Amino acid sequence: MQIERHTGFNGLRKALSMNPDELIELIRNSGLTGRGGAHFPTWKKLSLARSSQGEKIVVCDAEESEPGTFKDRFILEKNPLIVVEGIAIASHIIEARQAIIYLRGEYSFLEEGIRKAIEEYNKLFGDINIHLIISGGGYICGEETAILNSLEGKRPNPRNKPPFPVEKGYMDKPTLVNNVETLAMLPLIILGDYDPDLRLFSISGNVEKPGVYEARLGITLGELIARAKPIGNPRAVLLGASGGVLRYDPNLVLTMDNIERLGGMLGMNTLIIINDEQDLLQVFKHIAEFFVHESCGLCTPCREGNPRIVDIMEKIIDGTATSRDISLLERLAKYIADTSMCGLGKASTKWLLTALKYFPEVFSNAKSNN
Amino acid sequence: MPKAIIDGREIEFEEGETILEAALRNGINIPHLCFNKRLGVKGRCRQCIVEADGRIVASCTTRLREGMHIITDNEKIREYRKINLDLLKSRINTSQILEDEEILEYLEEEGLFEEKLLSLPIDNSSPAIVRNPNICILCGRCVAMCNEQTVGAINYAYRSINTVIIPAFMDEINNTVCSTCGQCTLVCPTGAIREKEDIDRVMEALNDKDKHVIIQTAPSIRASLGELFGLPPGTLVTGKMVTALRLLGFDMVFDTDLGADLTTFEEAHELWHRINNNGVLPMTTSCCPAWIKFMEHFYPDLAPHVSTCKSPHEMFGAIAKSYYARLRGIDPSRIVVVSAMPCTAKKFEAQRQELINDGYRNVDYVLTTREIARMIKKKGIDFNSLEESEFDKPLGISSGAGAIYGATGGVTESVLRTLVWIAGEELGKIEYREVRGMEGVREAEIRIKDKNIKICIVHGLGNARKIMEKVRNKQAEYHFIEVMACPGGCIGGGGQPKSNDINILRKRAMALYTQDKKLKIRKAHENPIVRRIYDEFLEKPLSEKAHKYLHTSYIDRAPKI
Amino acid sequence: MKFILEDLWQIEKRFGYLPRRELESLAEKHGKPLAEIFSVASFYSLFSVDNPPKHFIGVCTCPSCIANGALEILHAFEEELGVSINSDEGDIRLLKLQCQGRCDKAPVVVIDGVYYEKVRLENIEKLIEKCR
Repeated sequence: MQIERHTGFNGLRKALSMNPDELIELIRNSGLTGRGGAHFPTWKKLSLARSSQGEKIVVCDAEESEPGTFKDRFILEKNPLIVVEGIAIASHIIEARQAIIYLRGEYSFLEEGIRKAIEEYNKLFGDINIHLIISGGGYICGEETAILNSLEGKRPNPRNKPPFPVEKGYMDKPTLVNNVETLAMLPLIILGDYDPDLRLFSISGNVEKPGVYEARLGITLGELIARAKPIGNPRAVLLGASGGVLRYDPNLVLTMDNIERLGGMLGMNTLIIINDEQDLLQVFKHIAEFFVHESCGLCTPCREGNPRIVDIMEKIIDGTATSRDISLLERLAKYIADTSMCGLGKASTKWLLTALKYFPEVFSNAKSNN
Repeated sequence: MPKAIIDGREIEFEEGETILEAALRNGINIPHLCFNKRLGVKGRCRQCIVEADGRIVASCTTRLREGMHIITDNEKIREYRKINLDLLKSRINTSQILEDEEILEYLEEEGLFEEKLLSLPIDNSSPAIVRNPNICILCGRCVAMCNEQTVGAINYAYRSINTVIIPAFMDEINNTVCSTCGQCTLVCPTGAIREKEDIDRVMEALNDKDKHVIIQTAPSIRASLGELFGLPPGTLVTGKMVTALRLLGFDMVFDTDLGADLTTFEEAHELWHRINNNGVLPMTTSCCPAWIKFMEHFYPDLAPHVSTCKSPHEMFGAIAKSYYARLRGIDPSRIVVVSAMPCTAKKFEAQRQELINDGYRNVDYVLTTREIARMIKKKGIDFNSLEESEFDKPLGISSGAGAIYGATGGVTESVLRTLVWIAGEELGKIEYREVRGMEGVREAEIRIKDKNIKICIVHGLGNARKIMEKVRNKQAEYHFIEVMACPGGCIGGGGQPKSNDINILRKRAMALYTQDKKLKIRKAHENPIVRRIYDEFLEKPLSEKAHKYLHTSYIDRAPKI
Repeated sequence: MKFILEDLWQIEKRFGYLPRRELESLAEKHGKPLAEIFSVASFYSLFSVDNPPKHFIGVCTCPSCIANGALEILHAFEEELGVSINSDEGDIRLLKLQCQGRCDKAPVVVIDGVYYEKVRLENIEKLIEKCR
């Protein structure tokens, strides 16, 4: 896998000899976009942060909490050096002297490896002060403005945007927030080793060999899942909890546009395979519970709406749901998606909107039980 | 100016203005629950959603752009607003909403969701405010306000559906650093934080034939009470207020302005004494009980800087149960002193152990402006058509100096008027415009005889903190510091009609200065009743007797770790 | 740079929860109101502001874990321990966990901070022994 390459800080060395504007141009030409799910052009973020005034900060978002997603964990386990190198390159580009790795609390076993990588960097370069901060636990902490609040010692609620972090971020300083994988791509781009179509897929669920797979966008779902060896008859594929759920179709070509056309989102290239022996209703109900547990509680739709979805899912499971409940489910899903404050809130019912579309039988069967 | 279109109407907007602000400015109403511009609260309730160029956005956080098309009402928006409101409604116990709160206009329709009412403990621990989290919609205005006051007694806790606004560890609010200023009660849209109501206890006293029930009214409430009866802000309703209080059954209706004159007289002497005898300076005022409690929590080491004078209504109460009782031949045990105040902190103050003389509480009950209005309405009195009448004698005579106590800078101006006289300048100035205004921190230097008296005036506890830090670091070269916990002073008190609009506060202040201008007596020391009380009872300022009845002491409430 | 999170972790690790007196001195140290510190601390799922039970058994209920039998594991714990989810009877709190980022090793059980991966029904008894 390209991510496992030992670049030995050569990307950083080369970057340091280059003009930041040249580097931004290089990254622009690579087509790299944010691998945290939002796909914002990386060069643009770098360029905005670079043109902001004052002391600047780089934040590496390692709060990977999307269900079914573990590619950042994989990268930090296999190659923390390349991540640190990417952080140093980004810092060089925007002229930051401070960087922070914000690591998911559940990943604290990675702490040692990351600290070693930082030490290595400090021995050889050390011009940037890289801090490692462990999160206290919360899906919302992966939201770029919530991280900033968390680092400032505040409640990790998302902030209203604008201002954007690149203008006013950590302690009101211009801050570049990028995901682990995005930053890890920077040394590869600079060394000319970057393949723009390769992606890391987190594959889990009903497969014999769950894990992180490297594949090209455009591969069919069937071809990719074959490598992980499906168990039984795959019925559904969940694109994480926030990316929606699709019917398993081996011929589905995995591109962002394709998935989006179907109402899903290939944010972090997460694929959870559910076969026909599983109780989809239970899976769905627990996704709803996930969003209840992880709502920050700041805005009404996400805080108050998601628990109502759990209630209705429970009624469906009990067989006490009515058609009014099912219609309410859909109304709630749209309301939450359209009116929530942050991206995570807005995405919290994508699973439901797609489930109602592609698995109506799961809901209608329950209804007829009544 | 850039232009945008809201509901088909072309409107001009200022760079950076949000959709909601521009709409409201143009008389287009967008329903909203959490938005509060002054506090910077926005984006939480999601009731104010609109369609901007076809996308659903919160109008309170979205800035207008040139040529933007806004639709504030269509089927989709109505659907989302209904679900939003119904979700909130299904959680809060609307039967516990006690008054005409902001939220009520939103709660009419039948809800979509089964009730899942919150059932958290109601916090009755404070004598000043009650917290009822069961009707809280988590808008967070109170948290922003408490933080603006730099008190930080309450905050959000936990997360998601378990989110609540509470003191740390769900402590009782009375066991926290809460200053009891009650600013939170002014901004709460549901009454989840409101004043602790004392109406029932006052009614009990009024119904007790054996009791002689006195009510005294604070300087500022005559300039604000009218608002609760639909009168424009800044309407002085002194005469109608006195009539209404009589109709409510109070035996005597007196004026706290007299208490304010006593405070001025005593405090000006204390200041002059400190200046001339190497006393602790700067000396701060002491008439604001929220400031006092704040000081006791955060600056107990600076207590020697605080004037020992009791606040006006407490001085009044002390005199009512001693001098007045003797004058009228009433046993003080039969006297009940009720204070009508713009303030929730006065409720806390009234039960302080330090404010007892001869075994009697100086003040028995405190009612806020809002409670007074509630009592008048409950009794079915048509306030606006009442005849005007005058305060009872003898404790109803007061000066203009007392009247202006209700506005920030008022105490200073009153003290200056008397300080000049104490210093021996017979023809002292009356108006000191340099100490008036609404800026949070104001400085002035006044020449009295051969001395330059340096003054600082602060209102809002955040500003008080700034100045007290300076005092602590010995960087405050003032003689006198006036502190009011509430923005604007008592006219913006936590017990006032709910508003924290600075323009309304200005109008209330203006009314007090107008009243001062109209009065013949404008200096505390020229108030004949003040002179009589000293001649017949207290002897002279700062005397032993004056100390007993008019001065107090403070306690250290700092955490002991 | 000062990070309250680092202090919170230190306290959590030392005491197993965040005792009041520690949060009080943290508030003092950072010059913040106690209510604000409590607000922050009570938000995170890995910190506990209450004195916690002696043992935590958490079963991840993310889709990958459920697809690999997490709910059966959860119910087996319920039955074996005789406790219901999230109740505070006795020394052991049994709870559902959200995705732990180990979906390639599903189902995942966490006992007192220690991870057990690819748990099978037949492992339950042994796992419970960790709490005895």
